[in-house]
Amino acid sequence: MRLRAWFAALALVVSGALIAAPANAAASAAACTRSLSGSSAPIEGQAASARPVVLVHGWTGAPMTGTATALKQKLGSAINTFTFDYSTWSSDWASNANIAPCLASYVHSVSDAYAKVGGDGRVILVAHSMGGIAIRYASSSAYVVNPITAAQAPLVVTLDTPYLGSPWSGSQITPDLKEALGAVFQGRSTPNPFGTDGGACLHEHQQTTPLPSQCQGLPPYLADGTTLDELAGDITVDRTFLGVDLYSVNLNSDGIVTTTSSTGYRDSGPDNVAPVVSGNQGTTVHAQPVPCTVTTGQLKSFANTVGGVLTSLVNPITDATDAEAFRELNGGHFLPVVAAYDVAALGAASCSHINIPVSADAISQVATDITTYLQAHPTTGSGAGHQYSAQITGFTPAADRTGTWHQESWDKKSTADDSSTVGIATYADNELTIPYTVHHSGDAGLSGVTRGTSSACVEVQASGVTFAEVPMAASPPVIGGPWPYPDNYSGSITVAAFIPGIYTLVWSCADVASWSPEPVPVGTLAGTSIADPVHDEMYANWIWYVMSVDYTSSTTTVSVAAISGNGVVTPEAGDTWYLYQWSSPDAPSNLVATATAKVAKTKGQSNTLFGEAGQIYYLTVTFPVATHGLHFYDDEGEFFSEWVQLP
Amino acid sequence: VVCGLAAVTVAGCTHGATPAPATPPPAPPLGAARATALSSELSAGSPAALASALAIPDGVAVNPSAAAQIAAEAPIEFDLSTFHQTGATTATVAGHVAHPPAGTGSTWTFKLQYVSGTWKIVDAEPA
Repeated sequence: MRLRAWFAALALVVSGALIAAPANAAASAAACTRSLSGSSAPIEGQAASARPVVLVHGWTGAPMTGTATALKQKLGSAINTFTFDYSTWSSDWASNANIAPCLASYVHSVSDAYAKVGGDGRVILVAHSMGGIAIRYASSSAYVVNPITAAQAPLVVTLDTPYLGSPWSGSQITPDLKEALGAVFQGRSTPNPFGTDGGACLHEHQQTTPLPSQCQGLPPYLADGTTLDELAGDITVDRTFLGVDLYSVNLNSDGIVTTTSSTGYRDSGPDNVAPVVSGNQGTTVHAQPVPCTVTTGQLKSFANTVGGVLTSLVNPITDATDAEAFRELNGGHFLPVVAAYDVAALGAASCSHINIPVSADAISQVATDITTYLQAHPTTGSGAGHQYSAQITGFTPAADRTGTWHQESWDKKSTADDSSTVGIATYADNELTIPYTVHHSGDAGLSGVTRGTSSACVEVQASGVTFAEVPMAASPPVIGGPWPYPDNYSGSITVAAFIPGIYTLVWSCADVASWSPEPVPVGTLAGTSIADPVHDEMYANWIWYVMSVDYTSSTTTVSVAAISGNGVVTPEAGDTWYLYQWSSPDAPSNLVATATAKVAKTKGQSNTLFGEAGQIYYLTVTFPVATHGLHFYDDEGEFFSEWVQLP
Repeated sequence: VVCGLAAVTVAGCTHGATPAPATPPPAPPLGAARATALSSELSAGSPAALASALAIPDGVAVNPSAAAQIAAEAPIEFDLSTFHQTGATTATVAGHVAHPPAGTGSTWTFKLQYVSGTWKIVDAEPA
């Protein structure tokens, strides 16, 4: 955020004269209608082997050419940098029609250009300050006609993005501080941009406190499947005396944005959405501090260089104001004495808000983030070298499971007094285990009849997908209990679960009295799994998941989990699989290779309830080509599954 | 006109006015005894002695090696003839540092604050 119009914008904030037009309070999807000529040409330097990195500047900023140069120096030909420019509108709020929609349009252009030279179309986004907010609006169909997708931009790195606003956008800023801040930014300023919505919308806020009306609501979360790395400048001032470090003052800030705000993505979601604690909206979030230290001697030196009011503000820092500053910092307050530290550190500290885009430590961290991504998704062209895998990062049992047994009636079936309960589910090694009991009323006519679990009775659903026959195993029921309740069945159902989502259990026995199925929540799996259930076309009792794909320059290895239903043929070692060049879901063509499947391992067990159902077969198939597109056949030529498009 | 805010200057509004805050009496000049004590405390090399010489905010953790490092720069002798009171409780005085930090001269200006009846050092800058 190069606050090029800081002085003017802040004056409006302080005076309370927020004159920004309050139009467009409600979000509406917009398309970019302006020229993108200020940004780097999307085709410039594109090569399949160079991952595009799009840099997005912040409020009152300008294209991040310095960051681009520094990253290129670090990463060389592994990346190709592109700078997005919205400087003419950079004091407007990030949702502005000239910012978010145009950012989305620009990212699409870069992505398309990359795909045309043989790349996979994926780009990395690196944003400074409000640029990170712009990416969020640009990723939402509520604000942008053609939003950025997670598949297109799977990694976002933000530098000091004020997810929870900035205290400098508040009314406590004194005229002296305004003047000092203006002096710090002197020489960095460009002509006063249009509008001042950005200043108002960067006001410090919480998720429960909406932004001013012209801001169009709190920014939406990033698209599902995105990885976000939040980098937070964190300045510590070393108090020196006769050149000796006496003690340290941690500002918990980059001088403009507090570290709480720059790492506050999880708690900065849109209106009426609860704060997220992990795996937010399918987004993986990493917060990383970028600490730096500046001495009081350096603060004074900087202040004396700038001169004017900054000198008079900074010099007392090491006199009698330390004690007051400590009190206010510890109390989380932002009073002038704290602001004096901030404003001086802005210019003198390497990780400050205005310096972090070219800070050596920050650049190293961004480069590390990008390198980590490139190692997992290398760009050697034509798909070779890519690796994808299913990743479930955690399981949260249903929130209302507070006791050993869930007291909610599960089935409400059969005779009037029957009931069932569902226990607290657990998840391990790709399996969801759900304890249950089925309790009979003990009527004479049905006593002793097993009506507990059966493969025909149980459905597990996740995120709108029904896995009607996925139970892979059930422990034998334990029959017991004194008369008149002779039939208590206890056991557990184990379900293969490879994809993120909210899992529910539904009882659907066809042979019982009429009743309405009542889904019981089991829990939520979080992660960024590529596994996508593909129901068998001919054998509905099979579900296939592509668990991982590993490309080399000459092979494509696909790992598949196949989950059996009841009474169907099983995949076996020696089955022949067929790999087709992907063209479209309806146009299988161009057989490129065949390969023999290997069964890596088999899980699950046969039992009286499920027969052969519920077995999981982990197969690997290695084709002697590097390509995309997979079509399943067995060696008898029977059609097994839908098309599966490999990532 | 709100009398409480303008009582001192607006005729007729003195009744019920807020009294002006009491101005603390001027601190006495830095004496030879306190100057000698400051020199000793800075030279002692102990955290306790350093804390007696410097005005350090409550609750901060002082670098454990600071006292020894400052002592290594000692002795520090203050020139009382340069004592200059800059406010009711603030002043400056020049001092000669025997072993100053690299790149700096031996004469420094020390900023003082009168705290709890005694002068303490709050900062120092090369003269």
